[in-house]
Amino acid sequence: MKKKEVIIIAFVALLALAFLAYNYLFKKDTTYALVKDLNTDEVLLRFDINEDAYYEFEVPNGYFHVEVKDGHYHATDVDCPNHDCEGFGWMPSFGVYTPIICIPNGIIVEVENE
Amino acid sequence: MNRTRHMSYIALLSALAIVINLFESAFIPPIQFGIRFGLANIISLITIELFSYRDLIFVALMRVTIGSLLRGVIFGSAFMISFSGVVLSSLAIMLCHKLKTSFIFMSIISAIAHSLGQVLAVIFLYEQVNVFALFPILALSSIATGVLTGIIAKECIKRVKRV
Repeated sequence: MKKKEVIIIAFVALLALAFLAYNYLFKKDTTYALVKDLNTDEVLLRFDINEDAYYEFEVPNGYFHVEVKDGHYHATDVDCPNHDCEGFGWMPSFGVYTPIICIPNGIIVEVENE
Repeated sequence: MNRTRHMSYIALLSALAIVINLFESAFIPPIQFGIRFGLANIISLITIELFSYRDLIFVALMRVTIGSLLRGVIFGSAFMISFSGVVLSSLAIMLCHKLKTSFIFMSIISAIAHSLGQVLAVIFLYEQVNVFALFPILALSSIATGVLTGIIAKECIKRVKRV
């Protein structure tokens, strides 16, 4: 790679790291997460992250499950063609929360935005 | 290269892109945060290096259309999101090729553009701005996966050119 290209990539990486650091340092002190319908923005469930539980939802392709354990949650055992939402893993990961999105079932799981 | 031979190569590359796409989605689960390697991008990089912009567009469109059709998500939101990722990554490849950047840089930029395209599609389709929180993670991982796919594509091109 040319020197100019390395600088561009390093700049992009730094910008992304700065954004993550900001998210990590100034993350909301929330204990609740929401399961929402992507299309209508309707809240299907509001759950406490610190309360171990296993939730089940009926979705267009079958069932969608959310497991909450030890202050973390993840999408699991989801009926859909690609299972990408299961690949988001447990939230928070490395101290960072990101939304868990299941496009085929139109579901988003995210921390509550107070 | 005559027309039939050219068409055969493009059909072969399209088939490879579709198979790699399906193989990755079926057998290689996302690492974390939905991060994937994007192995099908290797074929786009090979196409631009050996053929033309028009062929790259054809292979990319085949990959996303037939791939979605075989996965059963054709013309749904998942298709739109894949489509915008592929369009943006193909545009990035063409731009980098025009600017004569290095091959690895082109691969990294196309991986980042693919992630950006997908995130933007989700934001516009569902009006979920919070999803943008995913992009910095995807951009960082795209640098790593871009280097990986770039190296693989470069090695493939060396061998394919001999044929």
